[in-house]
Amino acid sequence: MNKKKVKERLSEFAGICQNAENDEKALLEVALFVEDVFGIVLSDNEICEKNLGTHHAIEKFVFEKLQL
Amino acid sequence: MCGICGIVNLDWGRPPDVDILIRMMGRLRHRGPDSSGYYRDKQVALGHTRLAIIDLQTGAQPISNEDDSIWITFNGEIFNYLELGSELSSLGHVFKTKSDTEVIVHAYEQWGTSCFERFNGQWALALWDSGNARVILSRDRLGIRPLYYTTCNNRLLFASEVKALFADKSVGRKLDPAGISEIFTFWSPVAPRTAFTGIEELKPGNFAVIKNGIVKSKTYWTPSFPEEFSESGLSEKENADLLRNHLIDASKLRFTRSDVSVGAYLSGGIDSSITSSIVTKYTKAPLKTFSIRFTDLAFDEGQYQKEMVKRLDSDHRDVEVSNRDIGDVFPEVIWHAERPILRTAPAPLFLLSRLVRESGYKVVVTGEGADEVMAGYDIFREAKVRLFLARNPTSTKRSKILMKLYPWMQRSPGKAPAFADAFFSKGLYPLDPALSHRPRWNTTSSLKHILDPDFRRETEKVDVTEALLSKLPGTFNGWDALCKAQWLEMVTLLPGYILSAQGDRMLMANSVEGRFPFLDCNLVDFSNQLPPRHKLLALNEKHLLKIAFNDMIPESILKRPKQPYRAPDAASFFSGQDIDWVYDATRPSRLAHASVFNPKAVSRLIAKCRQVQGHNMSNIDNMRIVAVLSTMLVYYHYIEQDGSGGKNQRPAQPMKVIDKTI
Repeated sequence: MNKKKVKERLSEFAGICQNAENDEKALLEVALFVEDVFGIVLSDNEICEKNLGTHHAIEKFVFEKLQL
Repeated sequence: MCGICGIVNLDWGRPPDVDILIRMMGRLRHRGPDSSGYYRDKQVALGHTRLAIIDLQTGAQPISNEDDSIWITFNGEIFNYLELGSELSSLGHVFKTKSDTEVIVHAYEQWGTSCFERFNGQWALALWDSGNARVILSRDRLGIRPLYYTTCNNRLLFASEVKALFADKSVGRKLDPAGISEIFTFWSPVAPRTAFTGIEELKPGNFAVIKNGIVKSKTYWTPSFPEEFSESGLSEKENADLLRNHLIDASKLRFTRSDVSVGAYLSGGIDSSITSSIVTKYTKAPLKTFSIRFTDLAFDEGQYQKEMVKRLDSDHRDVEVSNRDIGDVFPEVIWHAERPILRTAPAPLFLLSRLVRESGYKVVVTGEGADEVMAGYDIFREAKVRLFLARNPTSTKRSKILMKLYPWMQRSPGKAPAFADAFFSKGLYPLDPALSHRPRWNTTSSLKHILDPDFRRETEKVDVTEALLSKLPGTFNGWDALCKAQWLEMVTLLPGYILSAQGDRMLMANSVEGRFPFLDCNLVDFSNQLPPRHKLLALNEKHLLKIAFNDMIPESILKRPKQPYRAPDAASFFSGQDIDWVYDATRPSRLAHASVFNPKAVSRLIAKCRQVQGHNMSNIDNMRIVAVLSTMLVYYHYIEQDGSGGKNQRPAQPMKVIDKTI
């Protein structure tokens, strides 16, 4: 997986999901999506606004997790 | 659409009995009320009851090839018959009709049994290849059209419906505990098993060769998915465009390849709204639409139906169904369904097809199959949540995702962890090949607690879940979790319930043919190869379908919460005045005679239903009462009585007769 592919998949998801700030359930759906599509597993601590609250945050977090 | 039947001698005995054949055809008259016909020689008899749809003038069956060495009886449609016919003509084949039936005969002549891989359609058929002294039975890929067979007294009998096999009094009539066990687990029998001992159903995507007294089945197609993470690299937009083209082609084929008018079901959901919209946008055909309304507003989708009718400007009719209507019609529904069912949902569809027929139509296009092919069912979303929970079982956060799945939990969020533990985590093994379906199967299996102890012991002789899981494709373990769930759904519930008890039987009961664009073979093969996220993106079902047609469907329908098609269950039998047949079917003496259910357990269940008039009952109690009533009706129609439903009908006239024994 390269950065371009990650961005492409995140843009697909962006079409159906608003930012998950201040929304615990939305954060969990983002976590489900990230695990499902990028094959990574998140700890409870990682399921937080800082990592998953905005599209930019998700991108940064996935890049880090995939070491891209 | 038609009914087919036949008798094949498995040794060199007397010619097939024509009286039995005609009785079999009579039992299939509802499938073919326009005319009938049979072929008979010393070895084989092929019967046909016709619902004339293509080539009204010369399409009567059975039909042969140029030298009469190959004969066919055929139920269904080959939608690409014009293209295949042109190809076969260029190869030197001479046609005497304009029917799709004759195309099959020449296709078999040209390509042998590999011809089935070339057909885009829905079929069950029998070919008598006298030159090679063999009979071929064949069924479409996903099991849209039914085909049953049994062997008895050195003969093989086959038919579109089991009731036609029972027209031969020497065929035994007994409930199969293993078949009942499958229904009380998967909601449906899984072919080749049926609800009856000794009666088999040809598996979807299979053909059988009967030669020298031996029956051999072969699979020519089965649902197949790519290895996880190796799906096509096309973008969402590219795949949406391809999906749109496939569905437009599939819908146009099904609306235009007919010599009679074609109508459409309109449920108020996305699938039928799309197929109907395609007709108005891409064909010149006038659109007639049909819908079910429920007097119980909890089940009614009238608001969305009205919105689509206005948008489509279609000539629309609907049938309003009350609880009592379902209760009244249920015995006839079960005679047609020929198996126990766990929901009453087929009954309103029976009433809808009656409306279609009364309106002068005999073909309808429906959205069936979209939920399986495009990942629309809750079971797929639930499976995704189960996996999410399984990845970190000690998480204190994850169970709250259930509130995304079940919005009712937002009113009582404290219940989420307990519910998750009870429904999602119990028996949760991430590597379980049936991870998606295990909760449904376990819940449904609890129905067996009301079985008679001896009968229950018989059902336990076969572990039906292990039997199913022992037949998984070799590549199954490499598939994505969604694909695994889709495969399980496509080989159990889709053919065994959705397309049969709820589909073919309820349509054909009123001599109406169903056509299903979402089950077009090109569309299914395309969809199965899609990246799973394009079908189910996070928890958003039918994602690609919604993108592909977002310009044709109003946002109110695209974004409405999914409402699975359901009908009132227990309330249909207990909410008003007593229904005589319900009382008769559940009398302790009758229950004891049938020896299927524990009479005391059924009495307690009935008392509970009466007390609340069938309202606000649990999911499992609703299933229990429908299971008891439908099973007892199957027992009445097919074990106590002779399976004729009291309708000893003759096949429709005119009858085409080719008898080479005379």
